[in-house]
Amino acid sequence: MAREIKKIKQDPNDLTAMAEYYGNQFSEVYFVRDILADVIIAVECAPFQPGLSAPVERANGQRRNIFGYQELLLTTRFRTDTNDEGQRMVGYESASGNDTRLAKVEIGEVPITNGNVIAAGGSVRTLSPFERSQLQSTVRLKQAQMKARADYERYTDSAGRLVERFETFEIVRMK
Amino acid sequence: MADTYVPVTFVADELLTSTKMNLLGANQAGFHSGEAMGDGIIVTRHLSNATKVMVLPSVTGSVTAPESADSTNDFKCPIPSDYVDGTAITVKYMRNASNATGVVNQRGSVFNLRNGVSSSVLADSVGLDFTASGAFVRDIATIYTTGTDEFDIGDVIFVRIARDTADTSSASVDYDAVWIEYTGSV
Repeated sequence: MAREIKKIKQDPNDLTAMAEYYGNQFSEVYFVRDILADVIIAVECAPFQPGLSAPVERANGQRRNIFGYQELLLTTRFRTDTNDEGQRMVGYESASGNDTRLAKVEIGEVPITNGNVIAAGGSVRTLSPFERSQLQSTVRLKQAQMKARADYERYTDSAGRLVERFETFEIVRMK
Repeated sequence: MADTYVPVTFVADELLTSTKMNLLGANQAGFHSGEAMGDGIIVTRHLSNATKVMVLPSVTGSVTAPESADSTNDFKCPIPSDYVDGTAITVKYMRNASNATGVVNQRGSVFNLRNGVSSSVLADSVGLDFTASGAFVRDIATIYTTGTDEFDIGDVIFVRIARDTADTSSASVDYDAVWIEYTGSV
C-alpha cells in the first residue's frame, strides 16, 4: 500500500548551509531530491569516510557516505538493473511514499517482503556475494530479453550543476 | 479515527536508516496502545472469558409451580451476544424454602426457539428430587452447545418447569428465580 505523497516545505538557507558544511568535509557533495514531493531527502558525499555512516556503492565502484535529511530518507539500494551507459541504477525510498527500490525487471528475482509484491508481511534476507552475482546475471539477461530500458538521464541544470535522474529521484552534484 | 499503522517493506540489500527503524518502533508502540490495530479485528478469542449469569426476564418474585405437567410456568431469554460459542450453558432455578412433605418431583424442559418456532426438546430432566433439607439451587439442564442442536447467539432459550407426575408433595413450591449460567467474554 503506497503512502500519500506529502508536500513538505524546506528552508533554502538551511540547504545552502548544509551544502557548504559538507563541502568543507568532502571533495564531492550530492543532494538527493525526491522529485514527486520536491524535497531534498539526503546528502551523499565522496570519497567515503569511515565512521560517519554506512557506505553506499555507486557507479564506477565509488563508495559514498549517505546522510538522511529531515527524517525523509528511509532506504537506498544499489539496484541490479543497468542504464544505457551500463551503470547500475540507484533506488531510494522516501518518507513521502516515493519508492524506486526495485526495478520492474527485478520483480520475482530479488527477495522482498511478501513474495513478489512490495507489501507488509513476509520476510526478506541479505544476499550472499554469490547470490548477488547470480542475481545480476539473471536481471541483465531479463532486461535484454524484455528490452527494458532504465528510466535514467544525465544533464546539466540551469545552475550548471550535474544532475543524474534515476526514475523519480535526482542526484544533484553540489560540489 | 484511522489507525496509525504504517506498512513497512524491505528489499534485499537495501540500506536501512534509523528513520525506517522508527517506523517499526511506532508500529510496535501502536500495537501496544491499540492505536495501530485495524478496525474490527478483535474477535472473541482475544478476550478473556468469565462465567456470567442472566436472570430469565419473565421471573418476577415468587412463581408458583402448577400442579400438573401442563404447566405454563415458562421463561424465555435470548442467548447473550457475548456468549462464547461451544461452551456450556446451564439453566438453574432456586426454589423457595418449603415445608412440604413427600417427594417434590420436578420436570424441567429447555427448548430452542430458533426463529420463533419451538423446534426441539433439548433437555428433559426428570426427577429433580429435593426435600426441604436439601440445597435450594438445582440445575435443570446443561443444554447442548455442540452439534446440530447447539445454541448460537441470538437463539432463544425457552424453559418450562412443572411438577412431575411422581410428585407427592403436600404443597406447591415457589420459585424465587430462574437463570442461566454461561461463559461470556469480558
